[in-house]
Amino acid sequence: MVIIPSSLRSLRAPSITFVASAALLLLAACSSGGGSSGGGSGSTGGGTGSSGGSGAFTPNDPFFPLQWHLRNTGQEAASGPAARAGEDLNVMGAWAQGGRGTGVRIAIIDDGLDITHPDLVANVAAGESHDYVSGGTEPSPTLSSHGTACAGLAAAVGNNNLGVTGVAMGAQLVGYNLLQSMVTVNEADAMGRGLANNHIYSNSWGATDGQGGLQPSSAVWRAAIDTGITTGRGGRGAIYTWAAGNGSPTDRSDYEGQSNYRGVIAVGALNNQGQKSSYSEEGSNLLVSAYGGEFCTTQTTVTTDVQAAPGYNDGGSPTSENINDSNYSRCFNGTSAATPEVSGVVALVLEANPSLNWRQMRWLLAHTTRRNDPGDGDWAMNGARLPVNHKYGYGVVDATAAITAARAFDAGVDLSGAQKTATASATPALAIPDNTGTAATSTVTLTGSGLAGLEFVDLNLTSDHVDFGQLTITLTSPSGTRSVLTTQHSCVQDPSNPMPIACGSMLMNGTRFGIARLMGEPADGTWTLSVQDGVAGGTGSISAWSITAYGY
Amino acid sequence: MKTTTAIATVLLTACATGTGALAAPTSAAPTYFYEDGVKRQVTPVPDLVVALDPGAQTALKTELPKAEAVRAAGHTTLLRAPPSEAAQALGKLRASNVKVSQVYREGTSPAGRLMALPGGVVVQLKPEWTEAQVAAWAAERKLPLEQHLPITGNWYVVSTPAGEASLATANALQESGTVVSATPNWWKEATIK
Repeated sequence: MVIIPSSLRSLRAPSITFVASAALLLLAACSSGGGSSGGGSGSTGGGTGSSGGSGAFTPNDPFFPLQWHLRNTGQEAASGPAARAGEDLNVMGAWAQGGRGTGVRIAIIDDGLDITHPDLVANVAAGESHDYVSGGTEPSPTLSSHGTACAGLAAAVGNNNLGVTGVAMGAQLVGYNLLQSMVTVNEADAMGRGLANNHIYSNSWGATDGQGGLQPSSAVWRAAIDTGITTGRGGRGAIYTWAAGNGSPTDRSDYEGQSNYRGVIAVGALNNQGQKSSYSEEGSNLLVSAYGGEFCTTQTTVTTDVQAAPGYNDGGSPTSENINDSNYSRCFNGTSAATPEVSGVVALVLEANPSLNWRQMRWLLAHTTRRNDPGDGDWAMNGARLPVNHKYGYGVVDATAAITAARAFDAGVDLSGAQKTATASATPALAIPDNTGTAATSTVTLTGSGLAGLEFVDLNLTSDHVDFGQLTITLTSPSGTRSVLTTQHSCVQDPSNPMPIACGSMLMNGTRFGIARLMGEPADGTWTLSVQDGVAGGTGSISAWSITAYGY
Repeated sequence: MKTTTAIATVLLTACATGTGALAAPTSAAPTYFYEDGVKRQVTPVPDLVVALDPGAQTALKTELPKAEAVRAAGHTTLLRAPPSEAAQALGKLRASNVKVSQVYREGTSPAGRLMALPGGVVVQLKPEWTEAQVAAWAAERKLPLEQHLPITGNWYVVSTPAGEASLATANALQESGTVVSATPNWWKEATIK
């Protein structure tokens, strides 16, 4: 959840020039009836539990028409441009195919979950949630409503004539209120809790935003994720979705050791025009995007809110600021909002094809996205002819394309079993030129890796440079795809007091960056690291670096 | 044997907090820890203290009535107070086993993430060890194993009081060479997105 700075509250959103509609809907999406902007009305479903049927389906939930991220008909915003019709998750076609997420369980790892909320309770798995404070099974929050809002986007009960509709309106929910007791052991525990029954772990939390520094993950957290992706879902692997972060432009998602890990799906946020939400962090680790909107003053997502005060909608807000039912809010935004939307889409996909493993899920999502904001200059074609963008990953998830592809999934490559890995390293002891306009470059060559193609790459870098913020670091793959890992920036000591300071030395003990942009590219060949210092004063060198390639 | 004695001493000292054996942070307190077996720096922030459960919040606010509430997340509250007062309060409350801790920044950067020590050490033992071998290892060192984490690779939590005791114990275990890794059970500042 991103709160608009008070200094900006009175500002209207800048007008945005619409790019001519050039959305590249995949064939799968087209074959299922196309985008959802033209969806009709009139419910034909029999409620959330009526999965398996087919035919046009429009939920009867009263706030569904406001949920532009589900069906964008050009809804009016509080201010600024109306939503851009068709800019949505294209979920209507998935619902028309009977997709509800039935039989799939999503764990909402957050500050709590209002398990008696009338629009969630029917989907909550009784007695399966966890309270990290008491050790009991009641995670309902007394202090905040973030997890409840996330849950509603993923799997609010649908077609019950009440409130909102979740993407996977028939999926089960459990809530783990990790953020009430945020310690290393609990972080790891939450990733594996309920592993025998949970399919998806939805994580709209992470490293602090807006400080500009590196925030590596702990070894035990990574081990927990590794356990989940190898033993969850009967060995097919649990799916971990992760918010990319809301710290743009100071932060990049690359800096966050959880969202840049190979076992998670990092999710960026889009506004109601299908462009990057102003706060959403760029990164080479992003896999996909979904909708978070901008701020409540313009247009954000509509979802469930805790029943008790204080929620996002306390019932006292004017209706122009919120909606007229304090169990719901129209003011939920952030990569927090985008992430449970993707969790919901993943639930629809797993319902359509439960046999998909975690690697196949990543592959499928990357290959069935829609290329949003096609005029953005960062779009590039990677070496496997997949469009990719530091702002968006492979694009916005397309629920209809995803479940259509899932039903007859064929990656064309072998993604069964464990990932293959290969490593190449160098210890160049290479001085980084101090603000000369020239970068220090170093290469490593990977040969005979046995990898036919890449799924993910880790870059490990050790440098004694005294100020991480002075550096621009990129890695260029053998196919020529350039992945930016940091750009010149200042840090701040405290996000609530954003006075810029030097970031200081942050690479001296070795730092891992994660890259999702190279899916399908060959691993073997020459990899080039480039480190440029763009500020005079403050020096250092590259002492060691390596790449670890993960693939098939 | 020397190592075993050292670890036991660290932990016995830590466990003696009820008698005031561990008082306020000192300048000799470690400013490093291990993650993945690699030594990493932390920088103390002497004017910040953290309460890590509701009871500790009440106790800390009582000890430091003029302290500024910096922020709260869940049941964790950060307070700012003059360093000498903060140290005195920590010493007094830890003697009563109240869950409070000094605060660190990760690394040496002023932009480092805030961290604190709620108690406990996360230990990875050799993956091939049986439960009996793990129990024997812990018994020899008088280490109270609090939890076996359901994670591939023999991960355990060793119980320690909050504060420096967990840092010292983690470092001693790592430096003993008998573990794959040992790191404090850190509280690290995190955020909803």
